[in-house]
This record gives sequence, structure tokens and C-alpha cells, in this order.
Amino acid sequence: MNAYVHILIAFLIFTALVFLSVSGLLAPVIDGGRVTVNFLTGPLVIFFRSVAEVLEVLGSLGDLHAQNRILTKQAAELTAELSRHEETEVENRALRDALAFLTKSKPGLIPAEVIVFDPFDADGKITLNRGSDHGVRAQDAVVAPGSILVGVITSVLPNTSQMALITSSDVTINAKTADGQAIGVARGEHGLGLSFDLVSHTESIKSGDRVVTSGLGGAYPPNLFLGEVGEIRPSGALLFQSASITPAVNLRSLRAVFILKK
Amino acid sequence: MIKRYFYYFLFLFAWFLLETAALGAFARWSYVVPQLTLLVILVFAARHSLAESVWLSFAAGFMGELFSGSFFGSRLAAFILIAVLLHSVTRSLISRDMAASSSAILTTASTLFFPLGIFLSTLVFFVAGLADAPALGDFYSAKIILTIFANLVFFYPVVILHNRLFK
Repeated sequence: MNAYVHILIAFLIFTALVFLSVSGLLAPVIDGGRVTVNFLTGPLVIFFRSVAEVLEVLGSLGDLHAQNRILTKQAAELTAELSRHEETEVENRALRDALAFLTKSKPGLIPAEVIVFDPFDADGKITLNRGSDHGVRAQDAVVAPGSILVGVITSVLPNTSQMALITSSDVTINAKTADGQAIGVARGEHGLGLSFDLVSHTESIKSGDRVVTSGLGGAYPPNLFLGEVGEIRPSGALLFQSASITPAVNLRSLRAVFILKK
Repeated sequence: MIKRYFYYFLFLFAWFLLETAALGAFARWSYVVPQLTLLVILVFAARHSLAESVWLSFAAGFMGELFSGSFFGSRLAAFILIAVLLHSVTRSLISRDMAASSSAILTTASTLFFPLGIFLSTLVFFVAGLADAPALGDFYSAKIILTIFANLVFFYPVVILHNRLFK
């Protein structure tokens, strides 16, 4: 058979596959393929991760002392903050009981593992090993341990799903500073970072402020940690001020996450 | 012939698993993970017939779509395009004998062209109303230089293993 006939046949099969994908009929094949590849690469991933950990340790040897000092200080501050929150929680519960409010139920959590990042997707699409059979739905929020919002589910198959990171340009989150002084919108910037936009000039933001989800609009639960305000960007004659947000975790180092069921 | 294609597919699949595992483990440094499936397609395009290159690139593209965040088909189309281009370049412009200089040129060109191929096919899907508009800047960064270097380092192991198995 002439080589160009092969190309034509390949093109026809390609076109058919695109149509099958758009109609959703290819989903079981894609899902099965992901599960199979995830299973087969398991031992290799374990080996490569141990190599990566050794390289990380070697690379960070020089910073260990300084990091240890920073972490010890942070642990002390967090312990003090935790005890303040515990008092607040007790008081909150008592007030709710007194006013006979309905108790807020904690959202269900689905633990999931990151299978792989798409290296060609600058926005950062990640494939997870949980899907609709496990209760995952599109637009579910994805958090890392510590109630840190890291992404949102974009597509769901029976056994796997894909999420976009919060730094994706497709993601917009209603946010506020933890002290409630400023309300705005956190937007992903093409996988490179986060910006805190549409903050009124009458509201105060400063470097180091913790940014959390505000819960407005209902897309994301409130008080999920996003990161800290970094650089305040000069606004000049613009109506609103904006700042960069340093994400709370290294989004590329995610291995285990939790999907919040709505 | 079926048996021959089966062995080609197994060869490709093994490198695909290796690349996927490396991406899973070294996600923070994904730009230094070599694009092993692309290197396999490069070797096949240079050493095999056009038909074999096209079908193998089809398989590589389909496997690439499993974890792709782009519209389905963009990676598949990019792989087929690369295979056809590499095949014609190695028959008309550059030697097929995998000398160091020609290998380096082909590897560098493939690494640079592959994201462009994905961008162009996504653009076609956008024009057809199937996908969102792609931005070329989303597919390229300065770190592609490190990816080129990683591909250059791993190119010869792929060639050597291919020659051992299929010569």
C-alpha cells in the first residue's frame, strides 16, 4: 500500500477518534488507559521518587539550618494561633446552640493521588486517580492537607479525573484577606502564579496578608487558604488595586490531595 | 507484518511508561524529563518507512492524549505531523545515519517544533469551534533549553536500544 494511503487512513481514524471524544464515547478507553498506565508505572514511580527525594535532600543541605530555625518559629506561632482558634470554636458552637442555628456539616473529602502532570499544559492540568465512581464531580474544589485550595476538577471519568491548578488562567476565585480587610478576586496567571485583583482602593492589603476563599458565589467553600500577599502592584489611575499571591504550597510537588464533595 | 508492528508498539510503550513515571516523580522539574516518546518517533522517522512512522506516531499521540490537558487530538496530530516532517527531512536534507551533528539538529528541531505542533492543531480545533483559543506563550518557556539538553542526552540510549532490537 502506498504510504500516502496509510496517511489518509490514519487521518480518517484520527477524525473518527476526535468525534468519538467530543461525543464522550471515547471516555471509557481514556479512563481505562489511565488506570492501566498508572498501575504499570507504580513501581517505577516509587523508584524515581526515592531518587528525587535523595536529590532534594542533597540540594537542600546548605539551607537546613536556616530552614530549621524558620520552621521552629512558625511551629510556635501556629501553636499559639491554634489555641486561639480552639477558644473561638468553642465560643462559636455555644452561640450557635444558643441561637439554635443548624450545625454546619463538614464537606465530604475524597482522598486522591496525583498520577501525572501534563508537561505541555502551561496552565497545569493534573490527572488524579479518583473519578465519578468515587463521588467526584466537575467543579469540585481540590485541597491539600491543611485546607489549602490547590485546584478545581475540570473533567471527570469513572475512575480518573483532571484538575486545573489555582494558577491556571481558567480559574477565578472569590477571595479575601484572612482579617477581612480586603475582598477581591484571585486569578490564575497562565500557570505561573496567582494575582489578587479587583481590590478596592479603600481596602487595605499589605505584603504577608493571608488570602483565603471568601465563599461568595458558592463555587468554593469559605476560608480555604490560598497563599500570602506578595508584591503590591502599582495601580496608578486604575480603579482597583492588585497584588501577587504566593501560593501556600508548591503546586508542582503535590502527591496526595483531597477532593471536596459539594 | 502485524507481529513487527506489535514489537514496535511494545518498544514505544516501554519508553512511554518510563517517561510517564519520570513525569510523575519529577513533576517539579518536568522540563528536564526527556521526551522519550518523541525520541522514539524521531528514530523511527529516520530509520523506517513512512507508513511505519505514521502508525507509530499515531500510537504515541494516542498514548500522549491519555494524560493531556489539551483538547483531544492536538497531541495526536502533532506527533503525526512531526513524524511526516522528520521522515521527509531525513530523506532530503539531513543524513539518516544518526551522526552526532545530524542527530543533534533533528533532536533540537523536534523538541522546538513539538509544542508548536500542539499549538497549531489546537488552533485548528479552535477555528472549528471545538476548543478554546490557545496562546503560543503557554507552550514555550526558556526552560525548553533544558528539555532540549535532556533529549540530547537520552537520544543515543533510544537509538542504541532500537538498533539492538530491530536491526
